[in-house]
Amino acid sequence: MDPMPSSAPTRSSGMTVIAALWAAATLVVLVIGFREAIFLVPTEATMGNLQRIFYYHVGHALWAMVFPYINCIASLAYLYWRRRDPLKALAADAWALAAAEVSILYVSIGLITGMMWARPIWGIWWTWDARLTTFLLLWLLYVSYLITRKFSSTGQGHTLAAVISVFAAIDVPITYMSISWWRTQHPSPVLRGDGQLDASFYPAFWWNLAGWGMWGLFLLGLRYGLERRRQRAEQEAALEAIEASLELTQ
Amino acid sequence: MTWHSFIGAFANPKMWYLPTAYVTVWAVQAGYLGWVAVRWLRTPRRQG
Repeated sequence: MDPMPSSAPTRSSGMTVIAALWAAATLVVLVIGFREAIFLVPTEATMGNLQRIFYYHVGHALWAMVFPYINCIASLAYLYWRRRDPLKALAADAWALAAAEVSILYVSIGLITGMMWARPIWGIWWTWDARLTTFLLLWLLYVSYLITRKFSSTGQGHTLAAVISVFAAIDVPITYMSISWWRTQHPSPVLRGDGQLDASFYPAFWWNLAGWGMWGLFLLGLRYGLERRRQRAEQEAALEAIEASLELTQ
Repeated sequence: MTWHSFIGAFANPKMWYLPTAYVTVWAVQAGYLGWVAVRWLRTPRRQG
């Protein structure tokens, strides 16, 4: 008798409903954010309408400094469990991979929108100031992370990548504080200090920050689900191969 | 800003950065979501 005849499909369909509701709520928040950013908040005095890039740029760049910590925590959990409890290690590894991909996605968009904002305002696409350089370093670390996982021939790719994730997590606070520690071309912090936003810009800022955060969490969950599905398919294929070889030997 | 000026900014040499940045963000995000969705559909589900 099957001990749990219907629990797996019920749980799966329950997660599907939650994911669909979360995605719908996210899209509503993003539409409100877009409307606020483009049509409702006042035009900034010195940069004009080009300043509206800010709402998407910061909405991604701030989350790009949060998802690396999910990646780092999951990677440390993977390192802890990989010999003690391989099943838990697999789940942690799936979270780590999902968070790494979402991190590189958000860092990439932060870099692209930053350059598209810099060109008309500063007159240059790029400058090697501390904020931009450390943020680019974060992107390079995650490229290294994914390449190491995919192409390492030692069989230790996931372990090496987990170590890289620690370096990425160390880079994040340096990136965040760089505009306070050093003189940079990049504007001052927008939530404190000299670059503090006027309250009239808050609706666009917070709606977009919330929307892109919710979107990132949605992608994180989806990518985790995909990786778990791939892991299970791989395990099943391995079991089938073992069974087939046992039948051959009999 | 209005829809007309937002869309019209594509043709403005000083303003095209704004709508292009927004379209690029949606395109990159949709591209990643599509890649995950395709991988999801191609990955066989565990039988039981």
